Parts: sequence; C-alpha cells; structure tokens
Amino acid sequence: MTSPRNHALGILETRGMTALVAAVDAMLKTVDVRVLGSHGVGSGWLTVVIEGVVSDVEAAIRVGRSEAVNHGDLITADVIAGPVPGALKSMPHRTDAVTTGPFGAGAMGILETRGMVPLIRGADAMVKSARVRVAGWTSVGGALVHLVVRGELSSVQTALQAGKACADEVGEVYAALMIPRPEAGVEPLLPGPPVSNGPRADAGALGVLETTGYASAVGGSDAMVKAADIDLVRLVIASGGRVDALVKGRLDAVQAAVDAGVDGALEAGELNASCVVSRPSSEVMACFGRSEAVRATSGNQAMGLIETRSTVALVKAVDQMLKSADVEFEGRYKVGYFLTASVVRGDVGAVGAALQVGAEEAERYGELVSAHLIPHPFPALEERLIH
Amino acid sequence: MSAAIGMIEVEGVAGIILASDAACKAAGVDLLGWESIGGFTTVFFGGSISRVATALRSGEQAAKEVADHVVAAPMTHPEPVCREYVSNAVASRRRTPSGALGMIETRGYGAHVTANDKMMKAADVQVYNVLTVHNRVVCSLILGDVASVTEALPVGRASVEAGENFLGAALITRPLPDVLRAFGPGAP
Repeated sequence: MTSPRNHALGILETRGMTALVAAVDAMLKTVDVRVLGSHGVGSGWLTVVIEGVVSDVEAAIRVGRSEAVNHGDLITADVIAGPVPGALKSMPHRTDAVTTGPFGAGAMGILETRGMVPLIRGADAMVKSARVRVAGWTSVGGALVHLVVRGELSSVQTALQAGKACADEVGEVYAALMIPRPEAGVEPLLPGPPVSNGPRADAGALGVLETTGYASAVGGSDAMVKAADIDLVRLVIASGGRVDALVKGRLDAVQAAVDAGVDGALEAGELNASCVVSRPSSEVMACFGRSEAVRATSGNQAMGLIETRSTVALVKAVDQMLKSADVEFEGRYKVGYFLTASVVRGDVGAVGAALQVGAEEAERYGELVSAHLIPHPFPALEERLIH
Repeated sequence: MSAAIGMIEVEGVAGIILASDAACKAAGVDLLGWESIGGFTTVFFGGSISRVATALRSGEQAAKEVADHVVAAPMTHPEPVCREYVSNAVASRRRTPSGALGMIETRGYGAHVTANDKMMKAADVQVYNVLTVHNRVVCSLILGDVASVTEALPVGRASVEAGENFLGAALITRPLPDVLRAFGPGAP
C-alpha cells in the first residue's frame, strides 16, 4: 500500500473511548489508512496510531481531530512523514489485529459516563426502551466507563436517547455516539461481549454503591449485607480510584441495603454515588449482576483496613501495625489512581490498636484515606473480597 | 533480609529511576525493585542502616531533578511482609544492555511516538522502554552512547516541551545494570 518514500504515521490521542471510536471510524471511512494499534495510559487518555501515504494520513488526522473534539477531548494529533523504519516496534501500541470492511450488522451506540452509577442506569434504560443488545462495557481510566449497544439504526437511536436522559438524572454523561454502519477497524478498540454462560441472574432490583477507595467499598458492603437479605454480587473497579459494590435481591431489601451502605461507606471513607435499579433488564444483569471472585472466608476474626494515597505511608503503617499488635497481614489491594490498601486480621482489640498505630504512622508520610475496623465480617462479605 | 530498607516515592517514574541510580551509586545498597499505584511510584532498596540512610539522601536529591514532591523513608528491621509491596522486583537473570540512558516524561502517550521517532532520526539511539505508570504519565527511555543520547535528548525534549503536558527530561551517563534491568522491557 505504501512505499517508504511517502509513508507516514498518524497519531491521535483523545480522552474517552467515544471520541477515539468516532475519530477512527471517520478516518477509515474517509481515506485508505490502516490502524496499527492503540494504547491507553490511564485517566481515559487513549492513543491510536495509523499508517498510510502522507496525504491520506494527513487527511485522516484532520478528520479524526474534528471528530475527537466533537465527542470528547483531543489531547494530541500529529503526522510523522517518513518514520524511522521498524524503529517503533518496541512501542506498546502495536497490535496485530488488522480488520477491514463493516463491523457486524446494524448500527452501534456508545454511552460513556463518569462512574458506573449513570452507566448502569443508562444501560437499563437503553435495553428497556428499544430492541438493542449490549455488546460489552469497560473502563478506560479516570472513572470513564462506556457501554456499547448494537441494533437497528432506529432502535439504537431511541435507546441512546433514553439512556442518555436516564444517566443524566443520576450522574454525568461524558459522551454518547451513534454510528449507523461502524467500520471493522474500530472493533479491536471495543470491549468484548459480557460473559453469557451460567444461570440467568434475574432479580427484583440491582443496587450500586460507588465509593472512592477499597476500604469504603468494603465498609459499605459490610453494612449492606448486615442491613437486609440481599446478595452481594461483587466488587468492581471503575478506575479513577472508584470501587463499585453491586447487590441484588428484592426491591425493598436492596433499597434498605443501599441506604445502610451509604452510611457504612461514609463511615469508612469516601462515597461517590449510589442507585437502585428496579426490575433490571436481563441484559444489565448479565453485565453487572453475576457473582464473581468467590473467596474462602477466614474464620471469625476482626478485619482491619488501612488505605492511603502513598506506598511509603502504607508500608510504614503496615510495618508498625505488625510490630505493635498481635495482628496478621492478610493482603493488599491496589485500587489505582494513587490509592493503595492493606488488610490485617486479629481479635477486635488487637486490630483496633493496630489501626490506631497504623493511622498515625501513615499520616507522617502521606495521605491517610481510611483506617477502618470491621469487628465481625459476615461470610457474605468475606467471599466477595478482592484483596 | 537487609537490616534496613529505604523507600523513595515520587509522582511519575523518571524521579525514581534517577533516585535508584544515585542511591545505589552513593551507598552500595541493593536495588530491590519498585511499585506503582497509579500515579505515584516507589523504589525500594536494602542494606545496612547507615548505608540506607546515605542512599536515601542521595536518592532524594536526585529525584528532585524531575519531581516536585518526593517522599523518602527508612525502615529498620522491616517486617518480611514489606517485601510484598515490591511489585517489580529486579530480575537478576535478565540480559543487561549498556549505554547512556535518556528519559523523557510527559502526560499522554501520543507525543512519545513523535518524540522517539525524532530522537532516533537525530542520533544513533534506540527506544529501550516506554513506561506507563497510569494516571496518564508516560516515560520514554532511550539508550545509546553518551554522545548520541546527549544529542538526541534535547531533540525529544523540544518535541514535547510545548504545552502543559511536559513533565521532565534527564540523562544518566552510566546507569547501573540493575537500574536498567528494573526499568527495562518486561516492567509495566
């Protein structure tokens, strides 16, 4: 396709997957360029690298730039004419997935929100308002999460409108996009389909508690499983330091659990948002309502969680906790976005004493986010923990 | 197990690369590895209590060349579990390259594709690794002889310096093999 003399690379970096998909789709429709790969570096910043002849790449980047601005934020757009041959092979954006032609049948819609509460509400509204199926969801960092639906043009249009409106009521919609006939070149950028095996996960209601940090998610979950007869489905990382606790059960039980969970999360740390979806669609339950990460419960011991925005502060705290009290180190969890947590076990008195020592030590070196004691964690919580 | 462990934490990753090299050269401590928590990275080194103290001072000083906020702390007779926080341990068997090490750190990845191409065109240097430590911070590491890296680095710097996303650029003329191993391909 290209001779070395007029060969060029194009680079486009956006914030958000919607902007990237809009740009790549438009580029592939406009000129003859090839997607070489993509790379995400957190905070929702995503780069795509294309190649082709200089004039095509220049045209593609012009088109991509304006699409990116229309559907999110543009970070970088650049053309490298005559790149060093083969010299970029050690760069992390390389992928081998090269696809051409249309991508599946029908139209595609993307809803991108900040945090999972508006995404789940939006997804449920989309599936309930029109005949669309959920093709997948994922996060790209900076708390930006997106969900992809497919269907007939008019259905996707209706769904996207309903989804946007519903998501808007409970949180921030970052972007929404409909592509009538998406190019196959966008497929490698998008999340895979939700797992469809296993029993159906229908429930009267789905509850979502979104916190910042692991300790508050565990504290909130502890309160939820103790407050009502619900099933703690799983803890999910939404990026940007956010952790989501998902519960299902009867509507009144889920409502009671989420109310208690809000208080529990605030007691342990920071809370972002919460919501209850009544009679969630089976598509939404397939994405968000399946149980995961089942772990052995660890006896009758109290649990101590300590969380910081600093490795130095956390390691110093854990070292002091283990030296000063009769507690055992159980594990650690890196939430991302500066947050890191550790868990110790022991009898209530020892864990309480350890947390006090740990909190003081952590504050000497960095930001303490949480030092939280759960005297008697229920098995329903224990088996869902992800540290 | 060392009598003491030293830790140095910065935002980004270039700061702890500089700190690792300076700390090990100043006090002969062992580089244990490093940890990233999505924004902040921390380097760990072990040795006698006095060596770790010396290493911390030199490392902290070196890190300040590219990082504003540097946290340094020693631990004497650390609990063994503290080692679990070293996610990226130095692999001893990994092949060690040689040469001078140039670093360019920015927010965002796209600018590195351009900068690395320009640096390779300007002088005989190779891209050794591109480190992504999340929270959008990216650090390109280039290798070559001292003259080539010295020539290439300002070219790369000029390519990314405009705008608000440039974070830092630095040169280590003779990096220790352990430093190159710790931050080489295979590290995240």
